[in-house]
Amino acid sequence: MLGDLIISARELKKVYGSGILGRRKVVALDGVSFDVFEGEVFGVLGPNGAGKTTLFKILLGLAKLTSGKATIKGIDISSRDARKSMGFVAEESYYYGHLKLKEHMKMMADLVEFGGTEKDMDDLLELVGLLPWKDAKISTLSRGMQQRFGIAQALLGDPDILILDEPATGLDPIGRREIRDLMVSLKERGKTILYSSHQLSEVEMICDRVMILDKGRPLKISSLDLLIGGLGGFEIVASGVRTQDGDELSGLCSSVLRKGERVVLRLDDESLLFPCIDILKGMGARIVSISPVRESLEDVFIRLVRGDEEG
Amino acid sequence: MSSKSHIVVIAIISSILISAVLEDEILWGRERAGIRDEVERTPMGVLLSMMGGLKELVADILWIKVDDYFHHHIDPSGKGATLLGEKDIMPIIRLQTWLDPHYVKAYVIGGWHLAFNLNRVPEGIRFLEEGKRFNPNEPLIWMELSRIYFFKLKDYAKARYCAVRAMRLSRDKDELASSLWLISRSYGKMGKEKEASFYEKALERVAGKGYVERSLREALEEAEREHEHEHGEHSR
Amino acid sequence: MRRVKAIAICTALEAFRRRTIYVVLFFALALILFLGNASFFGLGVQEKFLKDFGLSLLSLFGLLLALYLSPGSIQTDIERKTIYNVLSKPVRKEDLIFGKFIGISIVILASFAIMLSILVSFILIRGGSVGLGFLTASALIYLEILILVSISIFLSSSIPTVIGASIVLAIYVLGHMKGGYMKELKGDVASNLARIALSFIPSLYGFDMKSIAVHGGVIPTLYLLQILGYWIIWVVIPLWLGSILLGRKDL
Repeated sequence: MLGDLIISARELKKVYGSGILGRRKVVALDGVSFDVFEGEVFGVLGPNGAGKTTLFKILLGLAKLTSGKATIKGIDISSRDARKSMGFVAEESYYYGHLKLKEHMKMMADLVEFGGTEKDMDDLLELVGLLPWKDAKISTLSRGMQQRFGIAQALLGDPDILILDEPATGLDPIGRREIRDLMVSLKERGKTILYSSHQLSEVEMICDRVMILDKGRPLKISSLDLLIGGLGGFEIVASGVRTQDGDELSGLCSSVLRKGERVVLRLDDESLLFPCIDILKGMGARIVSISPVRESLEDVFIRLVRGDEEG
Repeated sequence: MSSKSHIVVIAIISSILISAVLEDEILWGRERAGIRDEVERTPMGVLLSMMGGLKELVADILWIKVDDYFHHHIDPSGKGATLLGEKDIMPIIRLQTWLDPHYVKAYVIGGWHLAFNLNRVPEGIRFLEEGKRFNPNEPLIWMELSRIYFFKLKDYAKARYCAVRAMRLSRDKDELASSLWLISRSYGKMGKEKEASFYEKALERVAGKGYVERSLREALEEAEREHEHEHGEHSR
Repeated sequence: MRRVKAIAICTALEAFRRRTIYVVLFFALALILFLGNASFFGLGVQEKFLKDFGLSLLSLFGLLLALYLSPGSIQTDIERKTIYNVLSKPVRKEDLIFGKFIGISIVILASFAIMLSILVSFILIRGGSVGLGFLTASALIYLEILILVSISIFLSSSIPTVIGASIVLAIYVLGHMKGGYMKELKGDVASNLARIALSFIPSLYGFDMKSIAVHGGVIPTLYLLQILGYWIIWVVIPLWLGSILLGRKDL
């Protein structure tokens, strides 16, 4: 069940000028509209150059809208107050390397006029597993640790919304797992998270709803269940199917694949399941397994983006 | 144009106007304080500007040359200055005062050298007048002018005038005594014995009897000591 | 104010922890120690030489510090995306710009304090004296350097570091040369055009009071007030314009 509306965006458009005197126009966002509700994890997906980072920058006031309107908890994004409810972790960003972790936390705390104590800041560092390194210089930390620090500093002031722009980029599998676990725990705390990533398997695990962008336009906004919940047909594995019977089966199946003694049949149309079973029985073949096929998020993503390109 | 843009434009224009007014004040304030900025127009000045404004420093270094010249090439016996075949030191002194117009010593030495050693008295006076322009409250320059008028031009009225100005600006007993001596002698030469006597008595009260003879003897002894010290160092 | 203070402290700490600044200071102090001990001159002139040299050194090394710390102050943050972490918070662009300025000012002030205290100690040890004029001249050099810092930060908000540093260096030279040219300008059209062009270069020569200070003179109070007013304009306006430019920029 969705919470209250927390982010509202209508017809967001961003055009960059490039070249001499900015004559060449590049449309980064072209009429993006979406809503985000309290407590959900909202994935923003898209190929490179789709406009994900531009969208985040606009919400955070780091770039200016060409046209459109967006609000954060009812406050227009052009107001500095809108940023009080948000924490941000940029993709592959660096921090002030000569500062110690605790000094950098203190600085970030002052920027949000954090009312907590040093212990509260230590608690945040502990949440991301960095408390033992609080006296270490940022430059001595690994990339993964710096990303975790990024999340800690984003949580200062207890913002309602977290925007994470590809937080797992450049991390090894352990680092990515740590970030994912953090996000799950933040979600359980009731945070609203806007999350972009190229790791679609992770998006599948964490996000409630996703928006797929391509060339600055939203291709799809949907809950994950609806997006990838539908059946994509069946896969039947059978043995004892003679070669000459293959022709009869290929009329029903979208693919017939021979693997040694066994045959793997792919049925896209669910209604053809039982007729296919009857045919196999009539051949005297033995059915080894029948399993439903679901589209993965990656499949949906590629289908939508490729369809958009061809369209 | 938005209201914020209006504010920006008004603020910039106001700043430029106020800045221009202040700039004029600064420019003429420096002129009044006797600071010479023309050096920076020259290629050397540009180079010196790039190195943190070293013109005063270069003036100091030039003083080594000048100081050395007057210590090693002037006869210390007091019979008169003799130039032992050296090139004229005036171009260096001139450069020094151009770089740092507050180098009073250079003006005084230069004026004295021009008038007494090179016998170029009008030039000497002009040089000291320039020094006076940049250092109007400097008694040593007034004193040197007085000496030139007294000894070289025999213009005792002007000598007295300059010595009185030096007296009013003097900072210590020696400067005061020197100026009183010149005033007293100038009055004497003008035939005004009463005034001459008055200033002679003032001189005695300030510096005691026999001041001039004593000062001359002390100056000679100091010169001989320095001469021995330097020659002793060189032989080592 | 809390935000400005936080950015200022961060900027100062970052600068203090870089080794380069200590290399610059080391060379400055080495020069002071070497020349302070050298006996080129007789007594009276030695003191003047130390003062002349010391003030020139303050100016030169102040310039070096300004060129090192300021031109990349905003650009580097943009390139490394560090600025995103700052400006994504409810921080105004002015907070960032003024915070950077104050931070760099603190670093230069500390460096000046070290250099000046060594220099003054040498002068006093040599039997010389340090008057108010000398200290005021030192303070004016510091203020002059801060104008360069302010202009650097303004440029840093929109142009690459190397170009910004080159422009600041050119302004330093032109700002000192300006005085000699201004007096030659008359009322004709060419002179007025030159006057307009020169008005965009700060009159840095106005902060150079070495020739009065080393001769034991006193800088007139009215002049000090005028130069202070001039300084305020040339610090505040570039910083303010820098924050406006940064605000218009898409990061």
